[in-house]
Amino acid sequence: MQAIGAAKPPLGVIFDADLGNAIDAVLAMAVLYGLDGKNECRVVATTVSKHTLASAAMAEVIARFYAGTVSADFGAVGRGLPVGMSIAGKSPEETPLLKGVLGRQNAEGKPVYNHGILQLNDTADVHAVIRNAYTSQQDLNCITVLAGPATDLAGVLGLPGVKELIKQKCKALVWAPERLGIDSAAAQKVLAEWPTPIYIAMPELGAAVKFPATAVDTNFAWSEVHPIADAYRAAQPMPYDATTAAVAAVLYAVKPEGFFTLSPAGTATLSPKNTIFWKAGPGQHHLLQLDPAQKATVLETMTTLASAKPVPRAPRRRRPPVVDPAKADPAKVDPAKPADPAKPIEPTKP
Amino acid sequence: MMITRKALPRRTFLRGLGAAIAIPAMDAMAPAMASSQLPGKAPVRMAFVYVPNGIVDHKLWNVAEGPIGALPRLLKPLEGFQGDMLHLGNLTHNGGRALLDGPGDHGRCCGGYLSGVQPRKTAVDIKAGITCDQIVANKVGSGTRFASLEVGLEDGRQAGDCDSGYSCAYTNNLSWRSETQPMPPILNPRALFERLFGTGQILSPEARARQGKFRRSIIDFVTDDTRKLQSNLGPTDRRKLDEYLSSIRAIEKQLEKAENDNAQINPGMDKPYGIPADFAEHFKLMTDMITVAFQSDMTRVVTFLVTREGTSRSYREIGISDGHHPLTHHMFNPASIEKVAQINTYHVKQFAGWLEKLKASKEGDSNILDNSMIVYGAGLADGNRHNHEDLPTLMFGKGGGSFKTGRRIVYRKETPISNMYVTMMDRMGVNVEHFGESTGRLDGLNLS
Repeated sequence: MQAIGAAKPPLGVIFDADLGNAIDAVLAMAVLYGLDGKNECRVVATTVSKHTLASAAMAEVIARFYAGTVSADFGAVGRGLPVGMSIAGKSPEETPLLKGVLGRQNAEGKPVYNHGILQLNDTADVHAVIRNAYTSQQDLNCITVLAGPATDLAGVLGLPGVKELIKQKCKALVWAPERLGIDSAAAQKVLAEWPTPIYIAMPELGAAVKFPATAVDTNFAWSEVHPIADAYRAAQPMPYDATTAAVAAVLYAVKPEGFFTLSPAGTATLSPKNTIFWKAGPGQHHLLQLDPAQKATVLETMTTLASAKPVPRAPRRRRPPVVDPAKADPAKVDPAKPADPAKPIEPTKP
Repeated sequence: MMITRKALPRRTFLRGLGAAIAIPAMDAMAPAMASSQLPGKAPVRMAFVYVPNGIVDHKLWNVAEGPIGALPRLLKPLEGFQGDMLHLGNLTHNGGRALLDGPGDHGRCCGGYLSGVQPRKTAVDIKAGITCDQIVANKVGSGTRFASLEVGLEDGRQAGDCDSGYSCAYTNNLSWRSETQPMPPILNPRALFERLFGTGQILSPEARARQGKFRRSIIDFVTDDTRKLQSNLGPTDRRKLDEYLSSIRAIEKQLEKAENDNAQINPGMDKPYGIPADFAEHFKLMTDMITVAFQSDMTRVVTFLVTREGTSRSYREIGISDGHHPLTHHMFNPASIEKVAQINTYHVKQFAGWLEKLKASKEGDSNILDNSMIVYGAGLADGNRHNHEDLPTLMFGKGGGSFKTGRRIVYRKETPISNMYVTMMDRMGVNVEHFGESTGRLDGLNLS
């Protein structure tokens, strides 16, 4: 039941990626939290389809970095989102990207980026996380963004009643389909059964708008400790400009006007080479298209959002703590106030 | 009673005027059981014991995975049962969360606890879901006298608003036969006794008083059958039968005492006839009868709502005059937390007493506890936070020898508690692909 008269919160975003396999999904998460910080969306679930704890740990490192913006939207109070992780299949344990971030140490030899993913039960049941996230959204007030293989979403589709739930709650799926060969059956299932429109950011789109390597040394320079910048540097030998299909998917999901156009409706299928084959006609699959005139704007928006500073927010509480005004400490910073933009923000300590 | 075969049928009754007493499993039944069931295999039972308002500081239970060692304070009464216990961490009931429906966690968490659904927010046209116990009862209940037993200790109201717009049907029932039909728990020990052994008719206090001088034990009504049966039993079975009938007689005496006490304490009190004023005594009476029902295979499925969800019952028996529910919203006041801890421990203590009985009830080389799955849990994790993840969940018994107990298993976060129900239903011989919010089955429970 939906509460009558309740104000509609910003769009909820469920983000699933094979985090750690490529830098564009990491940049996409940064953009997502950048938009969350501007209150243009809420991150309501983060899940990884790469079956390795390092991938889930990377998701949590990013979430903790932007800790003030993590939404605890399952109805729970005062807790972070659990990271859902697929346990289907097996991916390489670590990639240079993951090693670069999770392996970075400070002068004392301790990890620079803390996280709480040490064993399997520190992660969450990925199908439950995604399904539960839908259940807590107002009708048609969330969107799903998928970067990479469709393993997790295909699994969710296997739960009873979920297709109806997705149709009720979710506006669309926006998908950057990469590395589909990892789980081609899942890709076929999602293309055939996903109950909402699917907007596809093809690899060609990502290749047309490349994230500039120079931005890593300039836009992210406000903090020496930045997991996105570290991930970028570690993913490939620098300098390189990264493709941005996953970033485009996030941008379109939250801001569908002004950056990309859509192809006519059609049907997408999986080709024998495990790539997407799209054909115009009946169906509810669309391709995202870049308006060449908008390329510079798209690029600027991506770099600005990806390098945005975290916006601390007041912790969600059922009731405010009782404070005796006589004992209040005036030196304490109001957590609801925005951070001083001139002051570098340290990553959240556990 | 006609005993026409050398082997005693599993469902043998001692009958008399207005009385029918099922008898427990005996050695003399073994050949008969072999023909109708698996050879020598005792039935598996399933029970859910639900405590309200969450359990304070249950996070302290969360020591490392693996063997259960020293127990935290709240669980101290369970000392000696570590080897019979599975402590299951991180189980979640998403349907208990608000999910846009606003306040009412008590109504939601109990109303959907065993069905894994979110109940409809209403005080009128109630809707929840069929509960897992009833699915099992529908399947295995035809083989027992009662498909299931629903038992409780407090408040049978079925109508009205009990929590922020949620019907009392949600807070006062644990078991649901269908989406719209709750199974109200039996609160009155006399009613349960009559249901198990008598005609089901409960006489008024006045009528009982009139009959008092003629009153005899139910055992007296089945004397002839008892004598005939005893003559066909070996010494071990004879002793078992004696012990069993003695336990029923003890229950009768407890009942009579409770009824007499009630009459003397306050004849005008607004309390159903036969309900003991003392919580521990009430708990013991009800669980003693459940034990007998399990012993005699009268039922294999029980739900036990210890007190209604959201209850504000006080526990003067242990010196706590504040209401349970208000205390759980302790706002980190140490004195309130301490009182909630005492209430939680008091519940666990009563429960441990029941486990002792189940463990002492022999069934062949085993005992009833080993052949059962007894879940002790709550629909809220922390009554102060009203959260629905990492619910306090303990399971006792080996499920008929299939569970490796004595361990703590921490599942992945958000693992639906419905996964546990699917696993338990498997053990009861009811295989379903999905149930409630399930995303699969609980792994890691098996012996192998």
